[in-house]
Amino acid sequence: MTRAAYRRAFNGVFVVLCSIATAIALAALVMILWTLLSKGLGGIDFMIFTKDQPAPGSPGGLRNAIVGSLIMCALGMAIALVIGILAGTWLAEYGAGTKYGHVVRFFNDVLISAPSILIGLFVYELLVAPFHGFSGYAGGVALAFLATPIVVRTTEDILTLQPGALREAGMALGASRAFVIRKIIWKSARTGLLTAGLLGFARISGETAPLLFTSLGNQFYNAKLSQPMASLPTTIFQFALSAYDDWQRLAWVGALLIAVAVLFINIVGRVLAREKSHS
Amino acid sequence: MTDTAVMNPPSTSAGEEQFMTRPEGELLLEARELKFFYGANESLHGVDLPIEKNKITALIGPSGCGKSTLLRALNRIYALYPGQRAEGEIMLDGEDMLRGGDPAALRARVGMVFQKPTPFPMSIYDNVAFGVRLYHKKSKAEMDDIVERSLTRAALWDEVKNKLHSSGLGLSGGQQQRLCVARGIAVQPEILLLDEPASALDPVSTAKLEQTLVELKKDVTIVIVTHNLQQASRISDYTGFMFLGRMIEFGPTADIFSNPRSRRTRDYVTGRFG
Repeated sequence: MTRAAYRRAFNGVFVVLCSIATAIALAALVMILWTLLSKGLGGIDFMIFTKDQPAPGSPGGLRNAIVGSLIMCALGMAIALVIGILAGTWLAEYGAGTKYGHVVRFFNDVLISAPSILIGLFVYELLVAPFHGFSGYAGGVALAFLATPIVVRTTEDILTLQPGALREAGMALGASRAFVIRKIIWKSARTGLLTAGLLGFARISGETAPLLFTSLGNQFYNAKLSQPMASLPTTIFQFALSAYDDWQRLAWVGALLIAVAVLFINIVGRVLAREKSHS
Repeated sequence: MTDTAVMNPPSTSAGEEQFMTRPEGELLLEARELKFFYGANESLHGVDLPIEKNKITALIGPSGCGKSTLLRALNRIYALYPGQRAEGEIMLDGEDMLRGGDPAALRARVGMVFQKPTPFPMSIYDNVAFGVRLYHKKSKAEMDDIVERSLTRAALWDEVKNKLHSSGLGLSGGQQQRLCVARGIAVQPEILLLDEPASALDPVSTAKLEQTLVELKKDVTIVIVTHNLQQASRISDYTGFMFLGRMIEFGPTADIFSNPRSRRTRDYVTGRFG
């Protein structure tokens, strides 16, 4: 075999191997989506959004879980966005290149990959045990712990991408550093910051472990944060493990709802990011 | 021979002759014995730069000679970056701007336009009004007036008067650069610093920008860094030639280009190196 023929053969084998690996990864995704759609789509009806979770054998929906998830995710994101964007701004604008900045970035990266069950236990010790009760507050805070490091990291990345000349131009007019960041840099990076929020939201919307320790779950409708609160992931967990066919059907529906929400959020994030890079 | 001129290490040029012809008119700004440091690295070795009022002063020299550094020292924009510092004196109206003083107040008097256009992500109107709003509370009519006057002086008004409230990012590169000039002069600075403002522009936009600068000098003193020697000779009244962190020659533009006293200046302006 000549060298050229050998190279061609090697190239062919390499391309085939890469294609097979891609196909396997895609197949897994397609199978998951297919299973979700085939098992969940049939169970979707109006009652899913209007009725609370039923006793086994009776008709019902997932209203309490959907509402609980929305409330706790909203609380978690409100906390995560405020802390995350400010911390990310500090890292990009003030901490860049400093030793302290490196340390903060390192610990933030550790937090990104921290097991979510640890976060759940931590918040249990922090907010559940001392107050003798599970609550929506504790659930929202646990979700905030998960989303914040992602928002911090994304914010820092986005702000670092903003041209230095833009900062200089603002300062050259006599504006203070903080004013330039608020009025020019944040504005210039706003779709990126929105993407940071969406990524954080996508991350926490399916989290189960931290909620089991904090908001616990609730079979009744409850919009009070001080009480134990239902959520889609914990309800799926409970229903999927049950022996009742109708509960299992509802679990599939809940899983489908989360998957569709995450998919939708990711698509919106992508579209926004693309529009940004075109302008 | 040209090669040896370029190859000379910085240390040997310490004693090199410097040819300074001071302007005869009133000086508005003057840098004296200015040294600049990036960390421990000294990149300006005691530079003098006299700027006459209502004239255009051009800074030329090969890449890395320190002309942009000198310009960035004049409004202390370098202070954004830890580790960068300047020594010496920068006298503005008899006041040393390097010592004490609020850098923000200095920058209001010394405007700056950058190499790449830097429109802010807001409307054309808000871009021009941005700096003014930092200092003054103006009525809408007054602000409208300032915006129109600034855009007119930057030769941009006719092109944008019907879309003042659309984004400044939608303008062409040349228009964006003139928008930055308008934004800079809206706060009525005494001096406008321009760092290679035409290097990203096509010839037509460049000509427009140059014409704008020449008309502006009635009200504003201009210092421009440029790689384009024709540009320097076309628009400037005084020219400083810099090399390896030193001001080699400074004088009326006609003298620098037609009758330079330093051999290095002659080599550069005749295109033998640089």
